[in-house]
Amino acid sequence: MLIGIDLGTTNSAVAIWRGGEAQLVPNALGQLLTPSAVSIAKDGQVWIGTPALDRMATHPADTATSFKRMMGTQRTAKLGGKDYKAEDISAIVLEALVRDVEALAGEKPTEAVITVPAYFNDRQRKATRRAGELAGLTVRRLINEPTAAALAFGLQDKGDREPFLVFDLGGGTFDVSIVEMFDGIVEVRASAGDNRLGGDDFDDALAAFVRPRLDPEGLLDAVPQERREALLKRAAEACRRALSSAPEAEFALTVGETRLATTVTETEFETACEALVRRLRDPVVRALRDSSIEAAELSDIVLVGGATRMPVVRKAITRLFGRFPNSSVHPDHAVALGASIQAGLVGRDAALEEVRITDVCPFTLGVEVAEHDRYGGLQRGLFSPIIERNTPVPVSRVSTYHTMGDGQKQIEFGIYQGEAREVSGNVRLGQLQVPVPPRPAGEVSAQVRFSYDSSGLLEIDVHVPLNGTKRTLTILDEEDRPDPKDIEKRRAVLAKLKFHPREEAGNVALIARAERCYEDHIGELRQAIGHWITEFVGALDTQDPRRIADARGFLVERLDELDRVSPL
Amino acid sequence: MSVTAAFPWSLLGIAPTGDARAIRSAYAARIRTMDLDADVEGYAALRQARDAALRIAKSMAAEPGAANFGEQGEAPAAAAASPADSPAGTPPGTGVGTGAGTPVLGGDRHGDPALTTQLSPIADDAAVRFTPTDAGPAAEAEACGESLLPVHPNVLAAVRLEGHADSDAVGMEALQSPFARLAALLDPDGPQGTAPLDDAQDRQALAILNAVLDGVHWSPIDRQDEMENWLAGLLAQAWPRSAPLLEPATDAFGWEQEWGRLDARTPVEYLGARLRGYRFQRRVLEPSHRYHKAWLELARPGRAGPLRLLRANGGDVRGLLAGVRKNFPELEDHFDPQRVASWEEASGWPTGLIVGGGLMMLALLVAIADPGPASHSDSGANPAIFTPAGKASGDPAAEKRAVDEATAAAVAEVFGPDRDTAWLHRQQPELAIALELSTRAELQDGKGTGIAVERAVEKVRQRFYLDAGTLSGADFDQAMHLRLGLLEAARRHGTATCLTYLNAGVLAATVPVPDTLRTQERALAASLADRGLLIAPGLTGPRTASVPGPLVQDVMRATGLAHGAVAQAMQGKGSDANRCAVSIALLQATLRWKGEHRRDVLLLL
Repeated sequence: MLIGIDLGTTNSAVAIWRGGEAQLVPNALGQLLTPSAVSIAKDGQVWIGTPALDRMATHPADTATSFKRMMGTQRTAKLGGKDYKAEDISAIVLEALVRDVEALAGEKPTEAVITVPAYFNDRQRKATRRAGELAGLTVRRLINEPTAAALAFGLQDKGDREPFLVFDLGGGTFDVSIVEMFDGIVEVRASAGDNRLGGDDFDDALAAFVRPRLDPEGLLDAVPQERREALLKRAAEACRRALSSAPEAEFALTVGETRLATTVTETEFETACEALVRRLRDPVVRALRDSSIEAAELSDIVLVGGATRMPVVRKAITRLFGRFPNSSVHPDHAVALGASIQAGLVGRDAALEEVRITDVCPFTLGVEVAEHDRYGGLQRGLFSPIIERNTPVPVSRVSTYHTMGDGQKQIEFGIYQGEAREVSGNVRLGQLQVPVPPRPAGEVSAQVRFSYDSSGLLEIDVHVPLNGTKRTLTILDEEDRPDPKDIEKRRAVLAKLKFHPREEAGNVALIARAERCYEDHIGELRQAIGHWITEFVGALDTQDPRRIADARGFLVERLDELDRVSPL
Repeated sequence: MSVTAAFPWSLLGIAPTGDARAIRSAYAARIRTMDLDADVEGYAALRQARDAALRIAKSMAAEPGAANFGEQGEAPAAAAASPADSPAGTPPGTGVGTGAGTPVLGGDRHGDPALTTQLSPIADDAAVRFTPTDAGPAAEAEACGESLLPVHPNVLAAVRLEGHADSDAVGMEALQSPFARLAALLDPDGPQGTAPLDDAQDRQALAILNAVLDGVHWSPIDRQDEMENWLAGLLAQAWPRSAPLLEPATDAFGWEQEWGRLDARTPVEYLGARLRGYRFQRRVLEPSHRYHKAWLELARPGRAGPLRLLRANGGDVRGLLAGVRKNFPELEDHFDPQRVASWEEASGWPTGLIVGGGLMMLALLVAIADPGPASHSDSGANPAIFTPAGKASGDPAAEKRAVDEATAAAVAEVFGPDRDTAWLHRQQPELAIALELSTRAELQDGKGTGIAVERAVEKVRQRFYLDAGTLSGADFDQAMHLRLGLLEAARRHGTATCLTYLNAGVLAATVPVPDTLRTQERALAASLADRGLLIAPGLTGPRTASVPGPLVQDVMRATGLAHGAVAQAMQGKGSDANRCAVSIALLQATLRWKGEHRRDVLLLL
């Protein structure tokens, strides 16, 4: 079975293609979105999604969110005393999604289409694919998020569409794609993005803006960093969401026995994130330029990603394009739905017979070269593009390079991705060496072929015609290809983790929520919450289904009431 | 149809047509039959065929005879390009006469080919540490708490400028759009060409620029793009007049991110190179900068000889030159070509030698040449690319009066209160004219009389020991004693000042010089002028001198430095403090010394 997964910075979702339509799969708590949050206790007990998010407040040192932002880097997060890379944590989320599909369809899925931000680089893509492998999935295809959203949008009525723009501002990344649809062919014309800009940044900007006013006495300075960040982050997110529907909102958090609160107006929030809003423009301009399409020609501006709900972002879009954006797709669901459509396409589903999708490679790929300058010196570290950005994929291109030294015995190709003229400004993907017969400078040539496939993965072949040497490089260095044993080792580590049985998911989430509420309140309320938790745990211990159900109903009612009174 | 069904039609499997829909349908039908990943080349060929066919169809549609070919797909593009709705604030193109002209939709984004430059943005750290100034997070140029509207009402409105008495001088009506006003102010073909803006114009230009940026901010995105391209083109063409506007414009559009990119627009790249160069130049002119001395050395006119190494470290000079060429080629204009050539010729970069018998080679550069009355006295050491030159003069008579007064003040300061300009004209007409010209240049630059007087003092000071070679006996000794006094004053002020004085021959005006020393200087200057001896220095070639052993011993005693450190300092290496201390100690010791080489060594100090 082939599933489509949106592995997001803030939320993840899974969808399946069934009976000629895309369908989202609810998790054990009945939610269509599973927060991309994981909490691991010292004993290996794991919480995923909403309960993990609640544990962010009570156990920040054991809990990770927004780990997608570390994807493709060597950074690790410490959870329950152990280090995990972004792909490990992602694999835990993916496994949870797989179990959700299994619960719904009665069959364990083995293959997946996973979405990545269009502007994810090769390292980030490979890390994402490894996360899928760690979760026991064969990743049939990585698909760009705005492309997936475009599929979901474009197939709503299957009619032809003039070029439209997908504006995808997620929790951690920003993508813009220009797409058109004709006779069932969905064609991405250009993509651009900023893989370091998302809703999280707006939260950070808001928190930074509010903090001096919120906490003039510096109470937060005394709080351990992890906890402080978790508190600010959660308060900022709640405040930002509230500002999406009201002209002002409370920014509040509880430190120990003190509650800190201040009111933030819409205007203040706009001021706080002005610099971020300005960064939205550049990718839009680049995508338009690259596709040689005028903004006026665009038939629609399609909003995707939770962060596009922010009025400040919508206002900016309205101003930039001089019209209102199209909100006909669900900003949080479109990507997962599109992924499942792609899964249907990969699986050659009959209902999608007429549909094809073509995408582009959103960044330039090439090798490092040196050149003689006009003063006779050697300019090293220059970037020679082989595949230009926004070339339709799959694509395969060859360039020829010559030796620069007399008697040179090997040629070394540094492989880079990016738009800077010097490689130091680009992302290094790895390197490849080929031995060459020693000859005078310039007499030996090497042909370098770059092949970029539909999943956005790169393969490189070097051919030296003089002696027929060939070298192929799919995976560029150790970091990118952990040997199978290594993958097994990571799997073994993950296998030791303990997951709550599915039928307990509701109770587990409720306890996490109650504990979070306990942290959020002070004084008598806190004591009362503590009492309720004890009672509920006591009911669970009796294993009497009726008592448990009653205690649960009581606790949910109380917590709902509390959350209504104060949004935190 | 009689047309042969060749490329692109054969690949698409259709007969030649002007119908874009038919072409796209054929493409769609073809692509459905393909496995793209298995047939990468076939996919590329099919795409090319479709694009070629669509181009043909478009050109057929554009021809009057072929107007009946329906082409709904491409129609909106033509509508969008209609000039009727060109941006509200765009200058009327004609009339303002900037080469940048009105932005053209869909036009060439690469601007004027004349601006093509090959500039690399990122410094080679191994060669040079050109860390561009940290621009920091994009500055919040425009704080706007206003409500967001798709179109800002002020785009069309007039710009109100504060304190712009001379806005009429620009020749524009007050009600013109900020775009037109900016174009007029910067117009490279205008009466002022690319001359730097004066202070009032500068303020005015910044105010207009803010209005322009505001207009851009409130415009839809393709207008923004057009306006941005227009502004970049205008600023590039008006360089260096546009210099003060570069930072704010770069901030507003985030141009810094475009620098060094493969697809950077030419004007943006050009302006980026200028701005980076300007930032670098500002930093290198700080005495604490690693390449400060190397910069001064290369900016100095004339050839450099083996003595150059006392002035600047060879590695630094090489590093600076390589870095400037790589990163800021336009800054090489600030260097003297002869000097650059002589550093480049010197293969092996002489490191100086220690001669047997206790003799040490002293390497020092003598050519502190007076650039002459016609050029700015500070053209090398302080290339003032941003200082407004040639400020529009008001009343010529008043101007002459001011110059005369300042020249009189300068003469009195240099030669003593009992001397006047007329006296100097009688004694040394050439020097009198030189002082008058430099004074005028300073005043025109907007500097005060004080600065003009300082310049005159510097000029004459340089003359006396450049001329020292022509002086003899008591004059010579006295000139050298004065030199020593000034060096010591410089050292009291700081090691950097001392080194600057040694290297550039210019003593900063802020250095306090004891009154007795100034009195002696005035007396000597007046006495030399009376005898017509204060002549312009000829081309003084670089020389070397042998420092006799006993002098080296004296220097070691006086400075407490080891032999090696003294030798290094004499070769222009080692720490600044050592070089300064050794120069002073050697000057003192040599003045006491009556033995051989005395004059040769003194001439080099």
